Amino acid sequence: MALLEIQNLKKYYATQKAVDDISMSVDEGSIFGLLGPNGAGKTTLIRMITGIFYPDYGNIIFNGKNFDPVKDVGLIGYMPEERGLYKKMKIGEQAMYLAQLKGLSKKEAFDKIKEWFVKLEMESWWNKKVEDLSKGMSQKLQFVTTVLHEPKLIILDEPFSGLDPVNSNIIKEEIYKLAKKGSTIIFSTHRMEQVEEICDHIVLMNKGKKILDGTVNQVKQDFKENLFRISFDEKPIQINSNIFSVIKTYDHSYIVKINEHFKPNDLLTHFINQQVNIQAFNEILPSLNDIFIKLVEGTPAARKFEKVDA
Amino acid sequence: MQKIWLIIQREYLTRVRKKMFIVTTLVFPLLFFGVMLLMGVMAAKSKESQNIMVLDQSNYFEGKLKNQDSKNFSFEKNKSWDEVVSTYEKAGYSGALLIPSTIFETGNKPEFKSPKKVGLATEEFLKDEINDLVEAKHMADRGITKTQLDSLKSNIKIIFSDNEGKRSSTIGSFGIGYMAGIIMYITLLIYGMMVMRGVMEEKTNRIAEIIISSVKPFQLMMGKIIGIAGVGLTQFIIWILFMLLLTTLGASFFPDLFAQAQEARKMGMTTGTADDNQMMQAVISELGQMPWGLIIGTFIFYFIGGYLFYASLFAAVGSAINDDPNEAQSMSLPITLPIIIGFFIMINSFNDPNGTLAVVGSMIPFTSPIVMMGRIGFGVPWWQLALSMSFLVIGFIFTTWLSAKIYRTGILLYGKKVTWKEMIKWLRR
Repeated sequence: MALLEIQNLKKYYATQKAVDDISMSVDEGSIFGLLGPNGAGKTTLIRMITGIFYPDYGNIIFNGKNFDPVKDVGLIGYMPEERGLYKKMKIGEQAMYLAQLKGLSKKEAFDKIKEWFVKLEMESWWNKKVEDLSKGMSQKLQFVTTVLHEPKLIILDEPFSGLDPVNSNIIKEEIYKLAKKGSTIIFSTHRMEQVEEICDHIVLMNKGKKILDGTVNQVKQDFKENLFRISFDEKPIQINSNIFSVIKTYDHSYIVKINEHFKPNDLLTHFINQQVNIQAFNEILPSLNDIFIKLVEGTPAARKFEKVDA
Repeated sequence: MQKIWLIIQREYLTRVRKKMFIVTTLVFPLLFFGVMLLMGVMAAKSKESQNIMVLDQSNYFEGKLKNQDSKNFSFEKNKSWDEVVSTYEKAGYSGALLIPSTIFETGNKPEFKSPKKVGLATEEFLKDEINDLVEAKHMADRGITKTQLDSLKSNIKIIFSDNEGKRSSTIGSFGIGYMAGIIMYITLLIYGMMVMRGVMEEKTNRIAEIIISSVKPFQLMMGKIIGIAGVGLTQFIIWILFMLLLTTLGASFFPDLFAQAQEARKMGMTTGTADDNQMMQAVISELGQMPWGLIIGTFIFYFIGGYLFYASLFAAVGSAINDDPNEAQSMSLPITLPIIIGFFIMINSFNDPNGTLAVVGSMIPFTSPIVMMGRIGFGVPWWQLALSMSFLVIGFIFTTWLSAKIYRTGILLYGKKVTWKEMIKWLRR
C-alpha cells in the first residue's frame, strides 16, 4: 500500500520549472531513494511533501487522504540538507523544543529524548550547548529530533554528509530499524553507493522531471548491457566466437558481452565444449552510479534559467 | 495555537535568561540615576575657587566686591596694571582684574587676566557682580532706591487653562511628551532590530527550515514578535518598579525637596494658581496635574501598536538578508527612516501641538506612535486619538500580512542577495 502518492506535481519559479509534472508513489515501510544531480528539484519536491511549499498544480495523497500540512506535520519527520540548530540553546532544551513543536507533550518528549540519547550514547550532552558540538555530533542530534516523534514518513536529505563511517553506520542501522518498525523513509541524495545499499525503490530526477522510476534491481536489469565475467583454470584455446565479444582480458578471466539473440547458456556451452574448467561465471550489472551518470550526462551541469509561462 | 505559545515561550525565555538582558535591565536605571547624581555633584563642585588680585582705579569697589562663592578678592593699590599683570601669578593669585577709573562715566571695559581660561560660571559671576555694583551706583547717584526700582518692575504671570478650567501646563506637557516620545523612538528601534536579528539568526543557522516543517512560517514570525514584545514589557515593568523604588528612597533621603513638591501640588490643586517664584515647584505641581492614566495608557497602546507595526516589517527584512551586517544596514534603512522622521515631527510638534504637521504625523501609523506621544500631554481631541489608534491597528494588521508573505519566501532562500524589487514580487505569490 502506498503511504504517499504524488500526482502530477508542479512548482514553477519565476525563472525555472523546479518541479515539472512529477508523479510517484512511495510504499509504506519502504526505503525510497530520491536521486538527482544538484538543482534537479529534489528539495523543492520535498518541501511540497513536508508542507513548506504549496504546489502550483497536482495532488499529494498522504496516508490515504489529501495531504493537509497543518494536521499531517506530526506524522512527518524532515531533516533538511541545510540544517541547523539554535547555537546558544542547550541540547536537551533544544530537543525538547523541537519535539514539542511536533506535537508531543512535555512528558512524552522527555521520555523519548532520554530513550534516544541513551541509545546513541548522548546522555552526557543534555546540558551542553549546541555551539560546543562537532559537526557530526550535531548531525546525530538532528537525526534524533527528526525521528523522535515516531513519524510515519521520515524524509532525510543527505543524512550522511559530514558523518564519519562509525556514526554513519550507527545512523544506517537506526534507519533500518525504523523501516522495520513500519516507518517509511525517503532518502534524498546524490551518493549512489548508499542508495544501492539501503533503498528498495528509487526515482531519479533531472531538471525537474522524473527520468527513472523503479526498484533498484529492476533499474539495474533495465540498464544492463549483457556483460558477464567468466574465469577459468587455464587459458581456453578458442576465444573468438560469434556468440559474444570480449571487452576486457585478464590473466584467467574475461569480461564479455553476449551478442544479441544469444543466451548465457550459449556462452557456457561454447567453453564447456572446449573442455576448460569454468571457475566462476556471473553477470555484471551496472552500478546506480553508472546509470546516473549515463542518464544525466550530456545535460548541462547547472540548469539554465528559462522563461516560464505559468 | 499551542505551537505558537511554545515559540513565544522560547523566544521570551532565551532572551530574558541572557546575561545581557539582566545587565541592561538592572544597570540601565542605576546608570541613569548615577549619571544624574554625578551631574549634580559636578555642578556643585564646579564652582572654581579663584584668588583674584584687583586693581581698582575707580576706588569704588573695595569693600563692595565681596568675597563669596570661593572667589576671593584682594585689592592692590599704587601699582600700574602692567606691574599687577607681571606679579599676580608669583604672588599666588589665579587672576587679575582691572577696573578702569572711567567705568561709571564712559563704560570703559574692565579687564581680566588669567593664565588659564576661566570657566563660564566665573565669567558670569564677575560680570554680574560688577554690573550690579555699577547699577547700584547709578541708582544712588540719581536718588532712586532699590524699593522704588522693584516697584517699577513687572512680573505678571498668565494663567493658561482650557474651557473646563483645567490648567494646561506647557512645561510639564513638553517634558512628558519629550520623554515619552524619546522612549518610544528608542524602544521601537531597539526591539525592531532585535526581531530582525532573531530572524536573521534563524535563517543563517539554517534552523528555519526545520521549524517550518513543524509550524507555519506565520506562526514562527508571530511567535518571535510576541515573545520579544514580552521581553520589552518585562523590561519596562522592571524599570517602572525601579523608578518607584528610587523615588521612595529619594523621598526618604531628601525629604525637604519632596515635601516642597507635595506642598506645591496641593496649592496648585486647591487654588488653581501657581504663583510660585520657584520654577522647580511650578513644574512639579504641573506634573502632578498631568493626566497620568491617559498618558500611561496611550503609551502602552502605542508601544504595542507601533511595535507590532514595525516588528513585522523588521522581520520581513531580516528574512530577506543573509549573514552580512552591511546588507542588514542598507536593507533596514527604509524602515528605520520613518521612525527617525517621526522623531523629528514630534520635536517640531512642540511648537504647535495642534498644527497640521503634528496632527497628520499623529495619524499616519508610520509616525503616529512617536508623534502622538509628543502631543498627548497638550491634550488631544478624543476623535483624533480614536482615529489614530484605529489607523495604527489597521496598519499593523496590514504590515503583518505583508511581511508574512515576504517572510515565508525569504526565510528559505539562502546565499542570494535579495533586492527590494524581488521582495515586492514575492508579495504577489
